[in-house]
Amino acid sequence: MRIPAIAAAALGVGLLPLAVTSKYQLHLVIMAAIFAILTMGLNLIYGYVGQLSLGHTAFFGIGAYTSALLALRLELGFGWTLLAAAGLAGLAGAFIGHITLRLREAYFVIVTLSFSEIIYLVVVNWVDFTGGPMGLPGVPSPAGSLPGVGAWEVTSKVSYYYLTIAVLLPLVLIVYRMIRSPIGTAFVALRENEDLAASVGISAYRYAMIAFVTGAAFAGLGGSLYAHYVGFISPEVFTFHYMIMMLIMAIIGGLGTISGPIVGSVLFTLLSEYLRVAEKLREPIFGAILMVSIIFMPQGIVPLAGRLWRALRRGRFETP
Amino acid sequence: MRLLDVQDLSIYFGGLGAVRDLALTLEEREILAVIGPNGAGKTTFFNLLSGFLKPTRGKILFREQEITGLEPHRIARRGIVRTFQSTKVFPGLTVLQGVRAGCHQRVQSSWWDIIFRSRVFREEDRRIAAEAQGLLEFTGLSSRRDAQAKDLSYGEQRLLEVAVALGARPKILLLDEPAAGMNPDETNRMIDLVTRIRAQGVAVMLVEHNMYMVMGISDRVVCLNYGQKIAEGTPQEIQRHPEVIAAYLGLGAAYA
Amino acid sequence: MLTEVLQQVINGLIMGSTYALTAVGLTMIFGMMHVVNFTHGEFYMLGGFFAFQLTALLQLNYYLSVALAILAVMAVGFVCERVLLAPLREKSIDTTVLVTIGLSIFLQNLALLYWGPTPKSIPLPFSNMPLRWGPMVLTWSRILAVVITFGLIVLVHLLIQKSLLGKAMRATFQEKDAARLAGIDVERIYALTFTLGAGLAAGAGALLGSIFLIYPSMGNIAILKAFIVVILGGMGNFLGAIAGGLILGVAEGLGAGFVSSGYKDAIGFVLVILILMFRPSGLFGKARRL
Repeated sequence: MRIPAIAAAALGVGLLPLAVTSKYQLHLVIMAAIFAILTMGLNLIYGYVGQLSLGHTAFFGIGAYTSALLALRLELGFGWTLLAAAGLAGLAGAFIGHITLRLREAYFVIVTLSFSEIIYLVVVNWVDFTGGPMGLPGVPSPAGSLPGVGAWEVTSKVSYYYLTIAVLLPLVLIVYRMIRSPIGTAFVALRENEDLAASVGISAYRYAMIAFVTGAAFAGLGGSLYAHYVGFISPEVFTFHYMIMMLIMAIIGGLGTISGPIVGSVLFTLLSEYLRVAEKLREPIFGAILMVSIIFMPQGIVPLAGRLWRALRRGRFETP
Repeated sequence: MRLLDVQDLSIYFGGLGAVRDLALTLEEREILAVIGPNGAGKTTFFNLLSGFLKPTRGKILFREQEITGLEPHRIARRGIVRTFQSTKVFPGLTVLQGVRAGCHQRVQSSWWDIIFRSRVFREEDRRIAAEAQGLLEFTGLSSRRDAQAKDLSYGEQRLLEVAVALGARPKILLLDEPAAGMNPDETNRMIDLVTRIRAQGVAVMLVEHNMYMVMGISDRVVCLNYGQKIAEGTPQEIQRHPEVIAAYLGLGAAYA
Repeated sequence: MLTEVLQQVINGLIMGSTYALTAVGLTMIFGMMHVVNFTHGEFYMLGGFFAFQLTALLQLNYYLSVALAILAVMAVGFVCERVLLAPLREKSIDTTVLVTIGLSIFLQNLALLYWGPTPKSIPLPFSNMPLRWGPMVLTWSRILAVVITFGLIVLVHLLIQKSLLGKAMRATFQEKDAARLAGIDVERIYALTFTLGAGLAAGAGALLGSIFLIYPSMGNIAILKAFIVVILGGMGNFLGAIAGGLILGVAEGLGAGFVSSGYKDAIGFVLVILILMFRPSGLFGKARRL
């Protein structure tokens, strides 16, 4: 059952630019894919381990700025900026995680938020290094040189699409394998009952760190893709606005599921565009969506859809 | 080698000595019952043994290595696993998933193995699946394999607790009131289970109020009162021990 | 040089007392009830805006406006507690956090839509000319803020520690089921405490809004400072909140002198992180499990 579905999905993903020809729509797809990467990272620490981190945007921003600065100041190729973004974001995750993961839940929420705010203030004020509130314009599109192939550059939207997918798919595979392994078991055991998990030898700190650092690295990758794609970054990437978006995407898609973040990102990107006409009402609607989804639909769409699907299949074989 | 050696163990909360100068030992394959009236410090003692509390004074030696003050998951990895007084399960996980979580610590696969699903990983996965299934059969929960832990009856959850704990392959199993709230049938099932656990080579220490279970199964009994050990001996000796009777029934009854 | 430092310290103390005032309500809601309430900033903001609406637009007396504004926000807080928070109380903490975040965004943007982004000011009923005291500069309104802060916090502290209601509150938040068994109407205590907390926030918003300006996003900074103060001072410790606020204010004032003032806000966050790493019960709190 799985193989045909995966094959169909792969075909769909591969051939999508043939169907989606409008540049604007392709742009939405690319943004959704980038957000999916961010949200997958958040989902690891929040959906699976169950710790609400309000500082995830810090890693997104660190990834974006790392890539932008390396590309602008040192003229490094995309391969390097991407790796550096993931590495630096991961390191920041290790540092922040080490300090915060031992804290009780309420404090964890507040301190992760505090770190995010500190980094924002540093980026805004350290004008010489980061360009301050004006940000960094002119981030080059992904380019580099490969031995044997020569120089390459990604400029068209279609190429961007494939590049983003090329980063997204391996990450999905990594998450899939991780979750279906003892690491994933440890994650959910910690979420369900931390004391019980400790009593059978599962170290909360160790596994929370794995989730947190991996999630941070994912966000860093997303930040790098974002910076090279949009071509301009500002301290705005550190603001709570993006944190809210990631949270909504994670929740409506389905916390603690593998496809949830992707579904949530697609849905939310579409919703966000649809709501653009509402202009100033868009923000309060986001707030309302967050409230409604956490109250009425905390498991998200993917588990609900799964149950609906199973119920439909059972219905089909019922004999009167 | 003595399995467990507790020396002068004490913990004070402010001025209150919840456990004071406690000394006891546990040998391999022994079943030791810890009894005493409510508030005697029995669960506090378990918390100290399993690392959930750090003692103010004293030493705990497991197989002649000191484990005093280690974190709970480290003590569990060494081989002491406990259950809790108020039932703890993984509510959203199925019975099978919960037991697999218990088996977690014996996993050897590295990152590489996991990401690339190597043969090492797949074999280990199969092994753990088989082990988890075996534990379900051992505790009589096979039929509830795919039920969510939160949907289980009280008695079933208690059995699940033991199954999860056994997944961690303990050398000492600490059972905190395993028979609490059980009817006679369920109690007998639990007694049978504990006996079979000992037969597998696991030493068991249990905190229990149910005297039927205590008398029926223990090799030795230790009685606590107000945080101190007031008696130790075989079940029969403890039954007749005047201080034990006094602790439970009040001073007058001992000499009635 | 010395006078400059002294001026910074005085400014810091005054700012600090405003932080403490903002934090009283949160000490009640976060410190005592352990509810991580992100809507607190909006209670603060609405207090300011309601007072503005009543004074500037309806020409009501200043003190009456503030009182009515407080009552209005208390009503809002009551509804929030009953409708949103009470049903979710048994769920994990992140549910409350996210719901209050969502509500905060909702309320903040509604305020933005209704009143617009331009900062407003609330006219004070007395002259606000600066006073010179030796080489230092103060204003009446800031002195008033300090006095009210101290007075209010001491009042609340006495209420919590000495009154029967205060005992009931402390009992409920320490051990809900035991309190229920002792005959305390636990639901009423939750509603009352939250409402009071909201009212205190509104009062702070109205008063500080009169001294400074009011604008729809003023709650964002206020709430972060408030959380810092509550944690510094020790959860649920009202007198500690005074100290926490003053320490934060002075630290920022002195810090801004040494590092660039843009980083001023980061000082509070660094303090919180350090405190939670080394003295989780706060500077003045008793060591206890959260």
